[in-house]
Amino acid sequence: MVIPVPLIISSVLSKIGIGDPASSAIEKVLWNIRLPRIILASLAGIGLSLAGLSFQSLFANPLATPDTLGVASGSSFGACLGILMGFSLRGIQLMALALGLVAVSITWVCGRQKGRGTTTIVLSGIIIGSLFNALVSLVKYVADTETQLPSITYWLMGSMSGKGYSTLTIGSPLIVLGIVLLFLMRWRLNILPLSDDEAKASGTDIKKLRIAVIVIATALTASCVSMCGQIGWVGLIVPHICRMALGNSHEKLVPSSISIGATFLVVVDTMSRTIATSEIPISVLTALLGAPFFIVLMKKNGGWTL
Amino acid sequence: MKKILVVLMILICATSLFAQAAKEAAVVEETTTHIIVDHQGVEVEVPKKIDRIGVYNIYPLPSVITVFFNNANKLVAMSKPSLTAAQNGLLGKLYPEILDVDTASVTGQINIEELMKKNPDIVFINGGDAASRKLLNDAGIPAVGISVNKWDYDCIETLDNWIALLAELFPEDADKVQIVHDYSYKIYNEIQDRVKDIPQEERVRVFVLFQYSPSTMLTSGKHFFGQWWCDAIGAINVANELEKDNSSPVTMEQVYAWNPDAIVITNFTAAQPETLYTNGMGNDDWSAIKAVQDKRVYKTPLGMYRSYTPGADAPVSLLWWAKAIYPELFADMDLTAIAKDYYKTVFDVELSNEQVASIFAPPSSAAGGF
Repeated sequence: MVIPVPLIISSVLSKIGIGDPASSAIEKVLWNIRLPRIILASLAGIGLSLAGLSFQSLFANPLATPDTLGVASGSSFGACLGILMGFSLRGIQLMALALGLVAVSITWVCGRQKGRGTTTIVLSGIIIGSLFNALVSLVKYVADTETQLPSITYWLMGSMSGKGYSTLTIGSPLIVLGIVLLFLMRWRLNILPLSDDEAKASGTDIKKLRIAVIVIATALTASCVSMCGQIGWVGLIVPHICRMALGNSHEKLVPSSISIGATFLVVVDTMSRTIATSEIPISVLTALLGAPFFIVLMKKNGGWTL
Repeated sequence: MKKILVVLMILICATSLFAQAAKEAAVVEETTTHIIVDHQGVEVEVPKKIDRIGVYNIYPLPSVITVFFNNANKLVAMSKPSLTAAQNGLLGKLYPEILDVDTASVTGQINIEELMKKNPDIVFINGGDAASRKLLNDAGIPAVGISVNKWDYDCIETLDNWIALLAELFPEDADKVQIVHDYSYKIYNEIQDRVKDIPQEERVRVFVLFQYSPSTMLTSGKHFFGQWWCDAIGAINVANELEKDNSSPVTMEQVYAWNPDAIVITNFTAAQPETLYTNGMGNDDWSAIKAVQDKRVYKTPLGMYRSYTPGADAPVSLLWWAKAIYPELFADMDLTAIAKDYYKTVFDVELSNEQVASIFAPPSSAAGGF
């Protein structure tokens, strides 16, 4: 639907009491469909970027993504299960959030070993992630192919459509809280990639810091997946772009990831709903746009190292 | 010497008799099967006498087979969605035996060993499903390919072709081909006569809500049954710009842009007209859509199967679409009487008024999976 810019401006003005509102359909599209969608896209963009940034620093691994600890797979399983059991949108979202947190708890319990850094946690995350992916396949297999399977398939591809303010009320509190916390502790995040000894020398309790970052990043990812399904690439590309441009200081990386993450996903989502009459799944576009852009940037800057 | 001659004579007689018997046996062998060409153009050797039929994945077909024989006794396996539709529609009430047909062997993927236990003479599959065809052939079961979309989603022509293939397999019922064809086109042509003069700008713009859940909304673009139903009754499918085959995802914003005059909800979703009138699904607000404001939201009938697809109900469903979208044009046509006449004439099935009424008021649970 094309709404001319003057109409949008007059609609906004009418909200603060100047002039008359536009037609009922246009008002509904602007305020009940597009506005929550834009808020959702920016929050999800920020959440996924910050989660990716945190995990990359935490594991000192440039390949870490928000799904490294199996969160996204767990959330996906929760959502698919909700669809299978015919839950409401709210129920599906709560299932996704809950199962995402369950998945990461299992990862934590399985991978925690004294004196063994973070490698076993990552390994355990990969295992739990594929376990939940298998469960997703199982749900897809038993779902009714004519009624439930399409819903599950489209949900897994990720989408910002059909989401209203009620979607935001469940997903956004944790995201906003996570953003605020990570922003406040941004200078401490610089210690994360250091080795245990180096970190100790800085006088920070590295263990507590790591746990805090894992909890926050997990909550961010689970909230994002619960609202809009699996959206790949954002958590990988955005932090890398910021690092290539600004270096490794988290004092710069956190704010830049917030703004670039939000912008990136709002732009991609706008493209996804405007390129064709039928919406293009957003995870397809993040990959199609993200990959070439990322490669060009990497060739130019020679990548980055932690 | 004589003895030897006698023995020789006996031997010769015996062998010739044996040979004769063998020859006769071979003749019998030859005539138990014949070759037919299925919808995929594949030549399939099938038994002449078929008593046990399996249907894999062509959900409306078991209902067509059942009304074709006026019983479900030959069905030994069918996919789960066929059963759900039978449980919720008229089919299970008219033919309770269909509710006991096995679904475990052909739901999802074929479980070939389970299916072999059912000992089917033939199994119907989607024509293009080469993997299943090979699987069945390897197990020695003739696989007959049926097509759902070969005839540009024309439900009546598709039903014609399904019945024609059934008649080839069961020649004793071959007269049904003509009866079905005549009845379908009588209704189709009558509708064309009445709608052909509606000017383009007065044609009703219809949105087909094929599937609807809190997270997904699917419609019919140009290449799906919704387009054919709209074309066949002189309406305009608002989603005809979508080129995707089969169902297409669509957003609420797009529905606002189309602002359809009428909405038709299929039985592939639990949504009812009330769902849209009360904004009862997900976060979608339907109140600004013309069809909802005018209370012009309709739920398709559920007869022998979810009648959005081709099936035994196609001619009756077509008339239902026409009456729903252009009530004044078809005010004189009594849907109940025609439905009763159709089932009586074509399949020799007697329906009561209550049974016909249930066709046109399907429950939400008809969309149910498990």
